[in-house]
Amino acid sequence: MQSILEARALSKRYGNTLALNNVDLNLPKGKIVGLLGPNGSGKTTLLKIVAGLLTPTNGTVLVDNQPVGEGTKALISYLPERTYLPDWMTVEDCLDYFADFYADFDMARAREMLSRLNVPAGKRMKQLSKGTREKMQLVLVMSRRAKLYLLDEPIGGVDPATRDYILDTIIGNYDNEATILISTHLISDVEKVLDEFLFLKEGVITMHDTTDNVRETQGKSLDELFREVFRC
Amino acid sequence: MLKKLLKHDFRALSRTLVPMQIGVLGGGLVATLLTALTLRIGQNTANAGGSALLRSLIMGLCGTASVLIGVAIMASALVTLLLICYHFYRSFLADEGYLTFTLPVSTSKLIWSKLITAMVWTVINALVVMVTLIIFSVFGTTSNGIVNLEVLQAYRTFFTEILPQASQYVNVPVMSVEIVVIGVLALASQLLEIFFAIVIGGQIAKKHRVLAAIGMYLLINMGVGMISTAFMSVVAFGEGVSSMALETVPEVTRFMTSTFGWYGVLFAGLAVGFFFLIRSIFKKNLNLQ
Repeated sequence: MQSILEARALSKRYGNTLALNNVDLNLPKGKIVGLLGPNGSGKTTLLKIVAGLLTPTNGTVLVDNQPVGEGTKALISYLPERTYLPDWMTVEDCLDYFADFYADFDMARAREMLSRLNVPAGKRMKQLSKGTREKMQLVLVMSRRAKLYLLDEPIGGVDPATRDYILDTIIGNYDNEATILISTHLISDVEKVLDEFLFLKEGVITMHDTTDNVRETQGKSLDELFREVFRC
Repeated sequence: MLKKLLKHDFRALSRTLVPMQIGVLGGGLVATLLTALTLRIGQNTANAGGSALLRSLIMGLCGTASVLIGVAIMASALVTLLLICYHFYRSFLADEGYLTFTLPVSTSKLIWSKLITAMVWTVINALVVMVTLIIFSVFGTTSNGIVNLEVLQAYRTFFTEILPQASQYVNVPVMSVEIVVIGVLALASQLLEIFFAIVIGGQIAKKHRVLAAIGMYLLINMGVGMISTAFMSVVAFGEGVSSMALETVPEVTRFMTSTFGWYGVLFAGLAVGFFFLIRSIFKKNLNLQ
């Protein structure tokens, strides 16, 4: 199977802290993959390296066989765990911004999603609630026809009803050829949509398997397995 | 992509800088009007044999208005620069960096866009300040009539007499081009030096990044000062400036052209150096927290 993301001997050190330790990773095209681990396990660091926001201390990352750079940024749609849209921008400004820079941005899809999520078009970012801003960012990210989606805690800040809509949106709006790498703590919410999962513990990938395999061979849900593996 | 970056950078900065420039111009007009009125009242009071105290008071008001306009104009240049720096900081080193650095655009274009926008706005601010000062000097400094004919005559003299006279000694069009080119290079190198300090400050400090950037700027500026002095001393020594008589027109012209040229080389070198240092940090050592 063709690979969309490949990491070899990837490490990232912050001072004395080793956030990622010699990570080897290979993600196929067309899968929804859960990046799961407790706080501080290195999930965000891994996503930021792939997105090109952090420089690894060691190792290499290839996205669709290209090293991280200008070319891979056109293939990746990244949703960080923080709000990054400038306060002064209106919803329309944000749409215009994404349409200008991303050739794969689908404006009609974005408008439709915004309307369903009741995000007011004329409002500035500073006038929106934190949850609505997060929805706005998710809409922008999922309205691209990217090859690789990196979603860092996409459902962390929204209510359970919206959570379901967002998960439906994620599943319903990506091409079968695209891969979604989704980092979250809310495993029971996302487990139904995951094809594969990665357990990340103290910067090391301790498990990479399919969710079906866990259910079939161990008779457990992913949530149960996570609680067992990461029990304090 | 550079065009699109410029479009969005101009949009972001125009939001605050357009009203500010309008404010400077408007404030200048108001101050001009107030000063002109004050002068007239003072003149009328003097003619009518008014008290010395009243005349002093009027003079004081006139002086205060002049000082205020000067402070406002100087502050506008500083505020323009601060807003440009803040835009750079937010775009690259704050949360907005998550948006900027995930754009499918080369690092060079990201920096070019910020630099061009900053330069254009600095020039616009300088022009607004210049226009405001000209308006003030022509309309706000006379108590007889609307226009200060002496000031107007001085401007006229500059263009009709001084410039033609200067052209006997130097090639005015060539020198004008040289001054513009050096101005552009000096502005670019100065802005890139500030941007570099912001980038380094953001890299070395997790908290108090603005303070770190200011500290870095002072350090870098000291280093640049030493390099500039050393460079120009070596150049002057090589050109034999110390032995130049500077008595004849060709000697003065040669000296000026040579000095301008070497300053141009210095500013261009600094600008290129800072540009590539910033680019290198963004490309090879980016660690957005």
